[in-house]
Amino acid sequence: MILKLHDATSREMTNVEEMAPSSETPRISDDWLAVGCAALLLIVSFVGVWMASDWGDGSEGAGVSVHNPFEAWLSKPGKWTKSPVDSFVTTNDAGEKAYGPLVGSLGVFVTLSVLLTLAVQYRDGHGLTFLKGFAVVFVLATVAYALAAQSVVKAYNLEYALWALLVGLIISNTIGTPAFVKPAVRTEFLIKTGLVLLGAEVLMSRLLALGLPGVFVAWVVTPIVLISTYIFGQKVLKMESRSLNMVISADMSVCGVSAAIAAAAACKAKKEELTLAIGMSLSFTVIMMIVMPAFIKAVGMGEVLGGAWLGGTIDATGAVAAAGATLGDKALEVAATVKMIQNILIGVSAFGIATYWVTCVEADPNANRPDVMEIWRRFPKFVLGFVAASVLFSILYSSLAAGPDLVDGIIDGSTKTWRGWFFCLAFVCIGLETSFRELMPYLKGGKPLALYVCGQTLNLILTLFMAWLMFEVVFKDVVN
Amino acid sequence: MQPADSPSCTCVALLIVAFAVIGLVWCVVLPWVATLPEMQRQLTFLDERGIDPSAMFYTELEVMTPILDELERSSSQSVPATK
Repeated sequence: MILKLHDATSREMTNVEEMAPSSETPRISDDWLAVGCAALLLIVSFVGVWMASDWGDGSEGAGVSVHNPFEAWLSKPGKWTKSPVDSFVTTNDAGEKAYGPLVGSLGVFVTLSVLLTLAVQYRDGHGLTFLKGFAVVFVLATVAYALAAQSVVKAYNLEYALWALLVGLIISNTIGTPAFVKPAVRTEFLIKTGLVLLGAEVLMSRLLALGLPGVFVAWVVTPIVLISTYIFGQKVLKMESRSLNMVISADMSVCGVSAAIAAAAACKAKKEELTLAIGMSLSFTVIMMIVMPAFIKAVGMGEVLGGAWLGGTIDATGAVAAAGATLGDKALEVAATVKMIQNILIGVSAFGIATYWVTCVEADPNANRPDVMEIWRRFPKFVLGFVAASVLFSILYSSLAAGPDLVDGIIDGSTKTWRGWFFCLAFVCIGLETSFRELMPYLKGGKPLALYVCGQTLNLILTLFMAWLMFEVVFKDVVN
Repeated sequence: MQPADSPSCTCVALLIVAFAVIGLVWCVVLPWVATLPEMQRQLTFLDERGIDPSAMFYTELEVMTPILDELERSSSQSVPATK
């Protein structure tokens, strides 16, 4: 049983499509539907923020007060320590209760129910069937978010993706996914919509935040490691699955779960491959975020070099910040910024992987190179939506006097929250359609583990060398 | 691959056991771990700096705002050779 994260118009039939009650040809592919839904959410957020904000006299952003009218109505379960109820109902020092996270989660449910039901109705005419199952999937996603929000769990970088997978896996491997839930299990549509929304957060103007040293560490080493690891997996380890090879390479070299999601969608990976890559990445991240700062302190490495090394090697963004902070404020600043620059690489890597896949991997070795129309037909269109959102928001950010306030207001107030829910829902769906038995073949032989370890070793060596060269030799005076 | 539409008693029992284990770990074990002095220090340390180690993307990190403000301020004050 195979689920591929790919365009509905391609040849293979996906599990999602098998599960969907419709047998007729969909009116629109998942890719274009995802682009449309994400675009609608971005436009609504933009208009809402634009109309609700005070733009002052328009000169150089002076007197600007940005307000996102949706912010109070959109959120996720908050951090809690003692009782999971605190995740939904917060209590201030005076003992007054606030229901922000609960109201915000309900707000997300309402907005996504309406949007996705209409989208599915338009796509294949089964909106109401979808809605019944979606309510259950949303409840499971809420449980996953609440599990991830426990403070000890958060402190060890155990992201919601892991718990969403776990919750779904428990259901599907015990009582089985109920038939009425299956029409709402639309993994690729949810992932792709989340990815297009993520595109708006990829602001190219932040690429130069650390100047050239940051670019060299994050944008030169990372592609080298990604490509080398992929080639190593194919030529040396001889991995059977190219897509698993690519997802692990991107996950390990770029920035963990978010890069794995983008790479998996771009190279049409199987859901089990994404699950495996994320599981390995989170496991190694927990180890690296503890061991690396201890090693850096033990060898007396400087904060800037240590921070750059952490930022370029630890997969998860939050874990980089946590590890950097244990070294000091300067290390935190450098580590988090290098990781941010690496985050921005997601768009380029997704585009590159998608192009490579449709032109090389999927090409018939006995036929001529595919022509432009064939490449266009195979190309995952959501990547275009992702890149377009990134370019558009980068232009807004840089060209308007109050661009940074506007973009931050849109992202922080609404689209970031929706994006997180889309990913969480998608991981619940992956869990709901995955059997533990299907995961087992991927673990045999230990090739994925060997690939990760070898790739990460190369990453550690190359990043350390580049960080030393850039921060301690070439740009030493500037850094000082 | 999956059980039939009406799940067996074993399957339901497994589901209950799984969620009971989750409930026990999350409602008893983890809150207890959070009270350990070393863990409390770590949680306070992260809170004070606005760091969420489980952040998936830089926009989810509270600490990025002051860092980016500081970088912008320093780059506007001087004309660094790096840019």
